[in-house]
Amino acid sequence: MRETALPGLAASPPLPAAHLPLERAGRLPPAAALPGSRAPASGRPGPPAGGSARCPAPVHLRSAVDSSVRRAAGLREVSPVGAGEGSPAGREGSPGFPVAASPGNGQDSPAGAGIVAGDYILYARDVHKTFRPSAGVAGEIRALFRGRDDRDGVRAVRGIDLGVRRGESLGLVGESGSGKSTLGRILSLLYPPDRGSVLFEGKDAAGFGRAERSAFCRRVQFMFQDPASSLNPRLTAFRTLSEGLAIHRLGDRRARKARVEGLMEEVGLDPSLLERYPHQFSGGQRQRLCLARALSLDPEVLIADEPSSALDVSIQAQIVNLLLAAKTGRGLTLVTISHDLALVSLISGRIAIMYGGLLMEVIPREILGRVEHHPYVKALWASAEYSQDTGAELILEGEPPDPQNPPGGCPFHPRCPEAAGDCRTEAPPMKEGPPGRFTACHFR
Amino acid sequence: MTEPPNAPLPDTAPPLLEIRDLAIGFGDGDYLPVKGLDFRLAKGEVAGLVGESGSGKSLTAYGIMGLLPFGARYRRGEILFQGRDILKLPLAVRRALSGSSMGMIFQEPLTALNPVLTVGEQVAEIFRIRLGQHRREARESACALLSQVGLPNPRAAYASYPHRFSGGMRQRVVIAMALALDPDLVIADEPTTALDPTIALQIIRLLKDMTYQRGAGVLFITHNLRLLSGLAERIFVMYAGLILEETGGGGMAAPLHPYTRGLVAAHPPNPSENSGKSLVPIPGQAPGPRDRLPGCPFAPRCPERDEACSRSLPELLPAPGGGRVRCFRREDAGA
Ligand SMILES: Nc1ncnc2c1ncn2[C@@H]1O[C@H](COP(=O)(O)OP(=O)(O)OP(=O)(O)O)[C@@H](O)[C@H]1O
Ligand code: SF4
Ligand code: SF4
Ligand SMILES: [Mg+2]
Repeated sequence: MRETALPGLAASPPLPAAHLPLERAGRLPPAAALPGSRAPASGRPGPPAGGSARCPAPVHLRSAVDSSVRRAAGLREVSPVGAGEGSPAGREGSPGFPVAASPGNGQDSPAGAGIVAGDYILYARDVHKTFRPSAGVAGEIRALFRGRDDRDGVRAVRGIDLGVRRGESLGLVGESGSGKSTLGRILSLLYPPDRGSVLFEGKDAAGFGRAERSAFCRRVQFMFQDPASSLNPRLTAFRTLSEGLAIHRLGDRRARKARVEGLMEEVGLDPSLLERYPHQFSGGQRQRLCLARALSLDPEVLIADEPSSALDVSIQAQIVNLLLAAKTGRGLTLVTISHDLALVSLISGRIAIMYGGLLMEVIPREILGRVEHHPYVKALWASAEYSQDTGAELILEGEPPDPQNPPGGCPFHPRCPEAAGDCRTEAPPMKEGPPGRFTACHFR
Repeated sequence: MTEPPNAPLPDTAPPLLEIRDLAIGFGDGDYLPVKGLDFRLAKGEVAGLVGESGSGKSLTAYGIMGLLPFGARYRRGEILFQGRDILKLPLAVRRALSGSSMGMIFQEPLTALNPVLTVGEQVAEIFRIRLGQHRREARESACALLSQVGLPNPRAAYASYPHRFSGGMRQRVVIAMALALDPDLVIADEPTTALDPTIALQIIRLLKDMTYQRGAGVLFITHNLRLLSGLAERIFVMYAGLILEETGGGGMAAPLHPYTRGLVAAHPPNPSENSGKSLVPIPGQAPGPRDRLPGCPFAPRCPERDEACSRSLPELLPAPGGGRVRCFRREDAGA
């Protein structure tokens, strides 16, 4: 690993070794006073800011957001309708953490009551997100191509409480349309929630000023699902990796170069490839580049959306191992979003499983497969457990819920082999048991 | 359900499908994604063709179906279907043969469906054109088939357009179309890759049941080795346009070729067995279709290579257990 401490720059703090978080390398002031906060203080314009609680993704990333939800194209976000409604006033402005059950769709907090404030670096508190349709003929046509009519709005996330512990590896699993990517984006402030809030180190992100938002965006990085479309085709690898440093005004050209070369080495790419454009890389190399870019600002939290699903197995394993190495080497907090329970259970200490915009189960890895699981998790588990004798035997009938028109009661009831009367009408609350495991089912 | 008709064939009967030294390329002679395939598929057998992207799986499938994409050409070899080399048949005969005796299922079902016709019309069309059925008769056949593939309300489905369906439902329709004429061979190219895991299982079960009932042979193409272990009776492992290993379905527990072993180690293990495990990636990346390696195509990434490996191409030779392996060191591998 290359030392990339920056030579004598008065205005910008030196960068530490690429593999250490800035703070722990001991060369930087604590988070609150980090570079992002520097710009406004010194009267210079800060990085571009988005909407109220939005994270200003670099320009090319914004297009990436759009393209990676092509499936959902044609829907735009609405200004948070009824934001705040449903969040008890008593919580407003409190520095704190949810200490009691939250009202999110009748689900109790899977983080549990009585948690200690310092435990969670990120916390989604009763978040909701609905995507509204765009009007007019264009909307009609898009609805046609997308294969469904979204005019009622797609209820992607319907009331979720989930905390991310500092330093943990959390897996977020669900089928397509379950809302896992949306939740990941809410957590990284790429989407403002319609309702509920995101707490970063206990502080409500909705109240962030420009400086805090900018610091957040440096400390929490989101890695997009599709490496091909999240890289700007007109930027060389060097520009791609140094863009964040430039936006956050870190280092001079020489220092950035050293840093970028260190990043390339960290992700197993030859620094001699720095002048290449994305199309000159293979799929696996592009994903390495995306990882390097996400690490370029030395984040504390990395939220990786399907980091390897576009890749071949032999290459997927390379990327997964790099992620794990970055996690241990840098002390990262890692959130991996994936539809693949087998993969996630391999790399996560705790796993959250979503269905129909809600959490079904949150479970520590050690007891996965050892408890009486939520019925949906059972089926998911069976689908991940291929074996010679069982083949594909435990098969769930039916289709996942329509996010426009989610079923009432338990979202899983139309497919659940154990569904009974109450399930149709009453959403099951989140309950804890055994310790650390939370599940939402009337019969667990 | 009837027994799967895959008892060993008498030596005299030709296999359902036999590929001999098949090479498919584009444009100039250098671009050769399929470099020389050899394999057989017995009547009613379910075989898996596994390989990573770019290894030539789909091109092989299209080659067998006679649906080569624009610019692609057969360069060498034979495709014997029920004993006849279909590459030597006149185009029209060939089209008719593949239209009625082979069915194909695609990764993205939308590409196989016409967006401006209802699902039912598309299925009925097959019965009308190929079997000469009348409108009403074709309609009844189509509805019956749609209900067999598990569409809950076949009459409503008949009148719906494909875009109204979820991915899983569309794939059911494509399966219906592929099986409409009772083909002897069904080629399924990554039929579940675009689907969610619980839906993928439904589709696999459906495909399995439908083809068993009809006694059709299946070539199931995938990049997911784990998927095949519970499904295929025979597995062909493809790499850089060549078959590197052929084994029985259970052979994945103890693969002989270094590449297959690497592939198994790179797959996430079953969640029940994975605690404390890590993935073992294969270093480097696969050669492209233009790369000309004189020796074993896996040599640059192989942990077991020696000098001989890069000098000449190993042959695909029988290995104990009934499989075949293309590796100079298969003796060391316990073969
Ligand atoms: N920007 C957007 N605009 C409109 N709808 C969206 C947007 N992003 C997501 N959605 C919709 O929200 C629902 C949940 O989407 P999300 O991307 O979170 O699912 P996912 O679980 O990540 O699925 P996948 O594995 O297919 O990516 C889907 O119905 C999707 O179409
Ligand atoms: S609440 Fe009812 S429908 Fe939902 S998972 Fe439990 S048993 Fe099934
Ligand atoms: S022939 Fe040599 S390089 Fe190729 S797989 Fe066998 S040992 Fe490895
Ligand atoms: Mg997603």
